[in-house]
Amino acid sequence: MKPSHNRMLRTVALCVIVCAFAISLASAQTELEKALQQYNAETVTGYIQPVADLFGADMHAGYYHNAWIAESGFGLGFDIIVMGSVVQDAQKSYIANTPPGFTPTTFKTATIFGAKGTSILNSIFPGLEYKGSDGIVNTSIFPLAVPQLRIGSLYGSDLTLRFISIPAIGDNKFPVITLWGVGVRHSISQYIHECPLDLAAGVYFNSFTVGDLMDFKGFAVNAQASKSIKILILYGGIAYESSKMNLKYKSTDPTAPAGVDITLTGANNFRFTVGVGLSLGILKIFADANFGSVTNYSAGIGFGR
Amino acid sequence: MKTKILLVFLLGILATTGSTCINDGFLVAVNLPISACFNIKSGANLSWTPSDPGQPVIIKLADAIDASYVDKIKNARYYDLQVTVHGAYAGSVSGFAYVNGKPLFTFQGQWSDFATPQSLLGSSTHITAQPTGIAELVAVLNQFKTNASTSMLLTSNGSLSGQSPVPSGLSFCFEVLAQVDADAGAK
Repeated sequence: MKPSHNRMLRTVALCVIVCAFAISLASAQTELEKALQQYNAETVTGYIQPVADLFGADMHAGYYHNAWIAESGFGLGFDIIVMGSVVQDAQKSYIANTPPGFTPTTFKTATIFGAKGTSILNSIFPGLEYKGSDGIVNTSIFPLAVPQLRIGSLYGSDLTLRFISIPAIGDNKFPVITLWGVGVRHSISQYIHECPLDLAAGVYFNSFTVGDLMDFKGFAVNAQASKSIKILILYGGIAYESSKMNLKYKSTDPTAPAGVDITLTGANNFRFTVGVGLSLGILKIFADANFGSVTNYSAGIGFGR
Repeated sequence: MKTKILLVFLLGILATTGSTCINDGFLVAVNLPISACFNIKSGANLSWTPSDPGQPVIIKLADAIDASYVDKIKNARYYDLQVTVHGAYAGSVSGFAYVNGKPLFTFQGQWSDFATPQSLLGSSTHITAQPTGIAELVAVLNQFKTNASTSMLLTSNGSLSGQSPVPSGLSFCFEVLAQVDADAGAK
């Protein structure tokens, strides 16, 4: 094996080991979980829906940065990808229900990405007051980072694998996050004589847990295209995707049943991707923008094929 | 060498992504359950008083919320009073509920009316809030902001009319639906 391949494999092994052991698996209940427990199944939906939307879009970003797949031969690629979904103003507040019998019946208050929660007075009974919780996360882009392994190729197909465990964020205010994903893509351009572009189609599945509280499942199918011009790679594609977030916990709200078990659907079902990369030997650098119901960006570095 | 430096940088992002994104001093509106149930003795006596067994019910507010929030209370409020009864009685009931000895509300109606929770938000005609007790309730809730040991004594007196003797298994319950704001963002 060539010395350069040895160095690359050692680097990949180091990345995998560090990522696997980098994070403590805190089991203590986080501030996020305690805040959500104050909501019942109906009231939590509006507060947490933006998480379903933004996490869902993050999950499906960064699958590819080049549509070229070798027809055969063993190849290994390792990417570290950082992605972020734009938090829109509309996702920082929502119309919440007041307790049954309260007047007014609704009020506008902060989501998890908002600022201060709103306090509302009952217009019929002086002294009765209700309030929504403040937002927890203050950011214009909701981030995620994943390592990704690409293994190929067989008959113009390769395999994509993801795994990461992120520590509790902000002094145990946001729980441990664990993601794993798998995908397969197949070269389409291998069937097209003198195709000017590299074309591929892929299908991907992700599972994503946030503490003991949230469980995401995501599925995407995409069409990929790229064009290499010396060290420059232009790439893009379209994708259909779906994501669902299951939220399960025991509520302390006295006005509703204690058990909460709800499923929220992520807003992003379609994305259009445009990206650019640099191929510098075994090192790749890439960045792309993704447009759909949620605007999402990703960037990263890759090693190997 | 340059590759490894770049890799360590990105691994640092992995480990710290999102760590600066949490609001400082964000308040969580925490449910504060305050409730009491008073058993009504069976027999010829159609009334109950604060000196009956089981009274007063002492509510230590710190025990009603997550321990990590106790020293971080910023605001407190209530948004409803609810009254229910348990057991079957063919007659009417009336009386008072007290907080720290001050009348919180009066209640009056058929026993069966209270089988379904009667509440202020439900515009129940069977309960009437009393200003003295409401003010005491609000004062106690506000006291909780600075005194983690705050507690309140809940008592009740009332009388039944109609069926005699009083059957066993009757109880009168009420609940104050309240919230406190906990500074979950405090270090």
